[in-house]
Formats: sequence, C-alpha cells, structure tokens
Amino acid sequence: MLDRRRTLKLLAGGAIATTGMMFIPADPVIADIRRQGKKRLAMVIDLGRCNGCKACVVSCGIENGNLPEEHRTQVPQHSVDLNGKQYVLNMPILCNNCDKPSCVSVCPTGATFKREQDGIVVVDSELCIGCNYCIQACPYDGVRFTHSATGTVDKCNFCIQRTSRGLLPACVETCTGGARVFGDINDPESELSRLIRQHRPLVLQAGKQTSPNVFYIGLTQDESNRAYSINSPQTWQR
Amino acid sequence: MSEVHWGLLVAAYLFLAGAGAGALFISGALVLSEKVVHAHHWSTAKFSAIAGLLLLMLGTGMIVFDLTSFQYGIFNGDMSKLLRFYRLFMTFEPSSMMSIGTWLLTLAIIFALLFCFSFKRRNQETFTNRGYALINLILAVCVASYTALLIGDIKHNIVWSNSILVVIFLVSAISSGAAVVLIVKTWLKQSDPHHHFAKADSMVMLIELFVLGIFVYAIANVSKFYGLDNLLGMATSAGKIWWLGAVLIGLLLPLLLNLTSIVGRVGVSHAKEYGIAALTLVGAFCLRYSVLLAGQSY
Ligand code: SF4
Ligand code: SF4
Ligand code: SF4
Repeated sequence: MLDRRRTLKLLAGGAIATTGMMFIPADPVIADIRRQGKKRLAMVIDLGRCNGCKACVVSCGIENGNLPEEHRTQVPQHSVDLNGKQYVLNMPILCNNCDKPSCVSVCPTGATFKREQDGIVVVDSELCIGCNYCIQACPYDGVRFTHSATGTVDKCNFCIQRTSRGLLPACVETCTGGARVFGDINDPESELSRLIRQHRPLVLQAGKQTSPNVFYIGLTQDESNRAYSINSPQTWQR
Repeated sequence: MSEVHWGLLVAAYLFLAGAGAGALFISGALVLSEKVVHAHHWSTAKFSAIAGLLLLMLGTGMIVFDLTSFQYGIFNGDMSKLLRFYRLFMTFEPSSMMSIGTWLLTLAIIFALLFCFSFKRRNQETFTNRGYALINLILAVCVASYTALLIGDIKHNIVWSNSILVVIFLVSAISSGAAVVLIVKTWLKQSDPHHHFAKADSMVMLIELFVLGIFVYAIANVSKFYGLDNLLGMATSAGKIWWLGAVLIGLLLPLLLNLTSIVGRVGVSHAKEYGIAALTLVGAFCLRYSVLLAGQSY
C-alpha cells in the first residue's frame, strides 16, 4: 500500500521537494562547498544584529543604479508571535548566489552563469533576452527582477564591481548593525568562517536543493523553511 | 511567488504551438493513412497542414514578442533590445528547455513548410510526402510535449512540475488540432454523415476529461499538503478559468454537442461544427492560461 506522502509524491511526478517541509542544516552545504576547494564568496547575516534600518537597501540602490522599488536586496519586517507577545523580525533578503543555482541551467542564452573564480552567479545583461525563465526557476521570490531601465534581468551579484577589487559589497560596507559579514567560505581564517563555526547558521529553504551561499544566524528551523520574498509586505506595526 | 511573470501572451504561445502541432499531427496521420487517396481527405490534410504551419509561426512570434526584450525595444526605441531575440536562435543550451524548444519549434516550422510544399504534387503515393508526414507527426508530438516540459522544468513549482501535464498538453493539442481540422473541413464544406469525426473527437475529449481529473485530484492534494487553499479551487482566478473555461466551455459543452448529434443520429450543421471548434479552442487556451496562473499564485 502506498502511504499518503508517497502517493502525493508519485502524483506530482516526484518533483515536489517534500524535504522542503523538513529541517535540513546548512552543514552539508558548507562541507560540499569546501570539498571543491575553490574560492567561494558568501555572506553571513546575523539577525540578532540587524536593526531594520535599511541602510543596506539604500546603498545597494545607489551602488548598482537600481530605481526605487526595484531592489537587489530588501529588509521586510515581519511580526513574530512569541509566547503571546509580538516581536519584529528584520529579514534581509537577497539572491543567495547559490552553489547549485536553479536559475543557471534554464537560461537559454547563457546570460546567467556561475563564475568559476569565486562562485558568484552573474547575469550578463548583453546576453539576456528578458525571457523571465530564470525568474520562474529561482525558488526565492523577487530576488531576480526585470530592471526597468534595461529591460533585462537584474539581481544581487555581491557587487562584483567592488568585490573583484577586494572591496566589500555596498550593503556590507554600510550595514549599521554589523549584521552582514562577507568573505571566502574556503578561507578558514575569515570572519565569515569563524561565524559559521561558532553559530552553525541556517540557509533559507534548504529543501529546494540550491545550496545557498547566504547564511542566517538567529533563524529558527521553522522560519528557515518559509518562503520569504524580497517583496513581502511589512507585517510589523509599531 | 506573487507576481505573474508569464501571462496571457505566454498562454497564447503555448496554445498556438499546441494547436499548430495538433493540426500537423492529424494532417500527417491522414497522409500516412490510406485515406488520402480520397480527394477530400487530401484537401483536408493539405489545408490543415497549412493552418498548423501558420499557427506555429504565430506562436513563435508570440515568444519573440513576449519572452524577449522586443517590447522594451519598441517602447524605448532601442534597436539592440528589439533585435536581441536573435540570441535565442543563435545559442543552443542543452540544459535549458526553452533553448531546446526554440530549436524544436524552428525545426518544426521548417519541416511543416516542406510538408506544405509537398502537397503541390497531386500524386498521393509520393515518398517525399509520406516521409515529411512522418517527420511532422514526430515533431508535432515533440512540440506539444515540450510546451508542458518548458514549465515542468521549474522543479520547485508544485503545479507545473506535475508529470501528468505532459499527457494533458499532448491530448489537448490533439483535441485543439482536431478543432482546427474541423474548421478546415467545414470551410471546405465537407459533411460528416456517419459522425466519424465527431466520434473520434469525442473519444479524445473523454480521454482529456480523464487526465484532467487526475490533475485536479493531484493539485487538490498537493495544495492541502503544503497548507495552501486549493490552487485550482473556484475561489482563485486560475480555478475560475480552469472550471468555466477549460472544463465547461472547452470540454463538456463540445462533448455534449458531439454526443447529441451522434446519439440522435442527426446531421451536424456547419454552424454547429464551427461552434464546437470555437469552444474547443477557447477551452485549450483557458487550460494553459489557468495552469500558468495557478503555478504563479502561491
Ligand atoms: S537565489 Fe535564485 S537567482 Fe540567486 S543564485 Fe539562487 S537560484 Fe539563482
Ligand atoms: S531572462 Fe535573461 S538571464 Fe533570465 S533566463 Fe532569460 S535570458 Fe537568461
Ligand atoms: S544595513 Fe544592516 S542593520 Fe540595517 S537593515 Fe541592512 S542588514 Fe539590517
């Protein structure tokens, strides 16, 4: 006899990631990235240090020339119910520059690709035809969007114009709470590696199997499985 | 997902590619069968192939118009963006279903064109015509399935990554192809006194109803599993288009019209045939549109 879970899986062609409903720690993702031994730039976000000031959103917009309302990163503020009391959860969202990005393989022109030298997922706007296939393929809603000034797809690329010169991404540079930490996951001496060792952070929606390179400290297992969107409405009311 | 990135025009593209492939499939099947020795079947096959080719070309035009920066180029007077779609036809990315589909569609259009030209010879036994018919038959199946695989490749999407969709799109392509052929037959003033066409058409519709039932059941269960309201429930716009457009208008009504003629043994008027074809085509479009919307509504 098929149990209910298996029946559902079969009916949906087995393509539903039932694991999406379960807890998957980020450790295997990190171990996998480290096994490759290459430079892999990544970000750790400490939710305990994010004050929701959105300085990151503003500096990103200025650095990358994005118009208001078209953000590469955003910090939606969610209300969280804890022991009957309402708290705010500032949730910085950006493209996870995944290790196994689902946006890359679908691109019909090769415009979206993963850089060998540092693992950043980039969109070549000269090649992008604006078909939106990658937007559909990315499980993280809103991190990819059509830039209204170019008509092609845009997203966070860890500010390659800065990081290629050894500088920090604009959002990290500006972060008023020191919540965003950036570095090479394969450099054991980096601040990022130290934080990962100490806090064993989680990634968002690990069940989608994209192996994100953005790690969150302070996220509960339940929260890590939720489908946050860069365009999530603010639910926190003071 | 909250924004609809693929809307009416993408639905139109999937629909046109499906209907075109369906018409070419039936035309190819007629040529391969012995039936084309009759002049009226020969004309039906010929004009259905032409209609199928035009639909495929129109569908490809929809991709260029909606799935590339073509519109952006028009509204911003930017020629480089307007013509950017050529990259779609210059690159082959085997990992991308859209890239595979673009080449498949290009190939299908080329062979449909050759198939149409092969009708210039009046000799029904010519090898080339049968050869092209077979190639068109195969390419038609590939194109119709590809339209489902294009969205099915979005693995995390609980509506689109359902393997029954390939069967649904394939059967729906054949039924909308049959609607195109019915329009051709009616336009050629051919009548169907023994209801052969109506019977075959009804059979396809019944199969379609069966596979749609499986899909509806799967989506209802999957929605529940993920703690969502039924993604094809009447409360959603996708559900309304699905139940009223795809099921009622596109399947139940034409099936009923066909069955009343078959059971009542009454001749089908041309007006009724046009009606059945129009309802079926509207339904096939609604089917694709509602599936697209449902997949983008959670
Ligand atoms: S978050 Fe989405 S867009 Fe970014 S790399 Fe991962 S799959 Fe691609
Ligand atoms: S929108 Fe651009 S980057 Fe995205 S899949 Fe299409 S061509 Fe590739
Ligand atoms: S700048 Fe830093 S503290 Fe302010 S919202 Fe962004 S991540 Fe949070």
